[in-house]
Amino acid sequence: MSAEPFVTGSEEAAGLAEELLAGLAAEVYPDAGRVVIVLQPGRLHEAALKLRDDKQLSFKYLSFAGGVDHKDRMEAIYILRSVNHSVVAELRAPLDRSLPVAPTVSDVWSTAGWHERETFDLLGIEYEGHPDLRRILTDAADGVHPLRKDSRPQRVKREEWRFEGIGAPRRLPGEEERINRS
Amino acid sequence: MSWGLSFVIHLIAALVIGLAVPALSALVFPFAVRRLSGFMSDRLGPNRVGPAGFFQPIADFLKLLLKEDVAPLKADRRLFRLAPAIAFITPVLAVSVIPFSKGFTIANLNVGLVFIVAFSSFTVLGILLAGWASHNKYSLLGGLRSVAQMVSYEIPMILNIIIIAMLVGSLSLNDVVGAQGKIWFIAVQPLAFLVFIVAGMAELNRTPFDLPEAESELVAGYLTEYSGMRFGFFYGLVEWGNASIWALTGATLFLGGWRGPFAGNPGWLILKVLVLAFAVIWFFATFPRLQVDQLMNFAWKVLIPLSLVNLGVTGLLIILLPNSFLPPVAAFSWASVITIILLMGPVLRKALLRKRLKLNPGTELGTSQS
Amino acid sequence: MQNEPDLRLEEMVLNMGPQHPSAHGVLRLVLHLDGEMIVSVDPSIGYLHRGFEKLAENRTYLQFFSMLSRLDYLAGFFMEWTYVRCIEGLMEIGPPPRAEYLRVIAGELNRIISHHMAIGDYLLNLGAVTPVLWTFRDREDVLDLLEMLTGQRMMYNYARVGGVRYDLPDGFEEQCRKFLRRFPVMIDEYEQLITGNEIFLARSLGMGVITAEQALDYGLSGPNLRASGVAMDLRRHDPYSAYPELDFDIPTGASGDSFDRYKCRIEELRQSVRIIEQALDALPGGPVNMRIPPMLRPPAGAIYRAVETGRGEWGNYLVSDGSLRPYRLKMRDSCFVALSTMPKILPGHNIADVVGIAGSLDLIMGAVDR
Repeated sequence: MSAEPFVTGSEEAAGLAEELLAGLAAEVYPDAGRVVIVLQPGRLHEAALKLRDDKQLSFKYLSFAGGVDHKDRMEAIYILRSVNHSVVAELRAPLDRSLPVAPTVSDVWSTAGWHERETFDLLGIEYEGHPDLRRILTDAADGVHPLRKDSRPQRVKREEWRFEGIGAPRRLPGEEERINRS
Repeated sequence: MSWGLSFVIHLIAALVIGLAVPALSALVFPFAVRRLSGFMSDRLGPNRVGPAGFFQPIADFLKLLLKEDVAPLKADRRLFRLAPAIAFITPVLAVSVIPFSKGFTIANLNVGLVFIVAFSSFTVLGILLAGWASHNKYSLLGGLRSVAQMVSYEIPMILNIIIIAMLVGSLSLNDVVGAQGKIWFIAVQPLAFLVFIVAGMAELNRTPFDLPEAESELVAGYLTEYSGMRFGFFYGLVEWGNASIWALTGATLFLGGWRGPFAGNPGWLILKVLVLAFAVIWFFATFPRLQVDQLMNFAWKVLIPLSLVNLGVTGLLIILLPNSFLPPVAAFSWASVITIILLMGPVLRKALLRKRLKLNPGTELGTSQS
Repeated sequence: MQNEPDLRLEEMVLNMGPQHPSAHGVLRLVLHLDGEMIVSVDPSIGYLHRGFEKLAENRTYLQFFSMLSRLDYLAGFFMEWTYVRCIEGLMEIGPPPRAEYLRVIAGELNRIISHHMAIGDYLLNLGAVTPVLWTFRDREDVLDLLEMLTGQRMMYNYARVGGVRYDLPDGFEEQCRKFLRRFPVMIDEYEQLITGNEIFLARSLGMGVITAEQALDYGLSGPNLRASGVAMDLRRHDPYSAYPELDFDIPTGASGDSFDRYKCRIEELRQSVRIIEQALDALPGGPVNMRIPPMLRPPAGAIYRAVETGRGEWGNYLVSDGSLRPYRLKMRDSCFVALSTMPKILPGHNIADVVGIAGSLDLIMGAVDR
């Protein structure tokens, strides 16, 4: 990997990406220094693999996976960075807002694992095939996805505090009395 | 004087000295650590209470004394309370065989060395009890680490004490000091002294072997649940009392005990103890901490073989040259110390790099510029 | 170890943090241990989640500004820089050249304090107490410089849309050059204390190895990525501000272990000194900011901008709908990513390595939790 990246303009990179993703992407255009690739969620995984494994573009580095809640639709966003060129690409997949489901790309880039957990947590986008889709930042806000535009601040119901992850100590017969006595 | 009166006077003197040594070290050493390591890391350290902060340890002591004595709900209370007391046995009793000057020993045992070794093991029991009774996972890990570590490092420690006993031909500490009239044993057996220092650091749970209470990993190890004066017992009286015992033993075995220029008196012994304690503080300010597996490897693969070789060669030389064994022993010991110091760094580096190469082929030390 | 079928060995679950001396704030790791060996790790984050992304949506562009440096509170200027780059990109304006140079100077000073904290904290996690105080001593000088430049020690609010807040104050250049002359000597001093120490080498060589493929796969950035041998630095890879006009090296490691990460940071300190020197030499004249409308309304659109912070790529994805408030602001953080590698790299290591590797990855929970 060279230290001096071979700088490509985003127009040129857009051309390359359009060629690569012919038939997969609905739209490819350069915007504000990056290549925006709009595509259907069903084709996301295939496109991700192609972008990663392409020798020329080589988008081996996923900056983040996130999402935007437009009030009529949801968008899954993936920002990719080429390791060979100074090119940033954005994968954008429009989702149904009432039931936002996108395929996971955590098998393409491992880093997506946590980013998808975060997006699931904050926006409620479900990632199909994600190995460990749990809430990550706001564990207590059950059923609330704070970054949705219709979510308002609300009091989180608190359970009685308890140790998580540590089971109750195993007691031998008669041990209960000993502890109480001492 | 009747036998009974003599016994009572003896007992009182023994108790006073036995309690004074750990108490004084608990007052002096933590303060010295804070000031000296502060000096070494370019800051001031505690300097507010009294002139230059000299009353800081007293203020700390009062604070600890006045704090509430808390035991965790699920702890085994009796063992929890017993543990500091058991650990405290070591510094109180072990001090009784140390010769402070000519003819001034609380108990001039002819097996003084064995006595010290035997009683220094009591600390392990106290620490294990503390770790177990606290009902806390960090405490338990700390206690277990401590047992593994102290039991392992006791072996090289004892082996080196045996070397000195062989050179002297006696187990009494008075004889050990008596034998160092012409030359201190540090000049005869620097290798044994080196191992004694290293094993001592591990026995005392001091940096770089402070794993039982490694605060960045185990919070405070076996001390986690202790507070107030029970904490003070462990942290001040036991740890620093043991450090004093270790330094007293080291000074007696290797640095000529109370001997010194002009007249032999306890002042020289105290000076030597302070020098050794300074070394402890110096290590504390300089070194990171070892890892458990590295710690055990170091004891069993380096220190014990080294001590055994030293023991064997020294014993052989004593048998072969019963009248003039000191010069050849010294020659052997100095030669091995110099070799070890020269070789240790490169050999260790090579081993570590080999390990790294196995994990990720095609690597070398340092970074490349691009 | 081969388990006997009838002997049931239990894994111990150790809940490390969020209250723990080396939790780097409020990091919680649920460790499954087999003895002292780690079987699996589940990092649990969110204890410092303040909902910055939601807060941004409810404030105007300028109101949100003052909150930015609270994210990565050790090097807050990078956050401001990224944010103003996003707004400037949407509005298609560029700051005057002098402002770009001042941003570079403030950014590199921030990188120095960030690496100071990283190196000191890493060594503190390994149990060495002095390095952290030495780095803090020099960090204080940099904080003084930053205070001169921005009026604040940590929460700068220095960057502005279309420039920076203040021009250089009187005497800054002189004091900065004095520091830059002295600082390389200090870096050598750190290296003398740390880099050659055999215990440090034993604790860092071959620990937490991340190969180049893994590092890219996990999206690591900054020194963590470069230590694995990938010379990817956004200052070169995606040049911004005045960096194309400045000459500096990108230090890379070879094996991606803790030692390489540490070494990369040390080298980057030297490079930062070079960059600041050049920036002071080449500082162009002219204004330091430009007139912008008091009520910012960037045109509708989306933009992604990132800067290379001391910890890696900090990126902002800003969606504007043409109103006074950001429609969506997603912040991409490198520590979040670095933390996500821990379940992969930690198993097989020791408890002591948990804090060691966490320290070498340089996590800052304010940025992870956002």
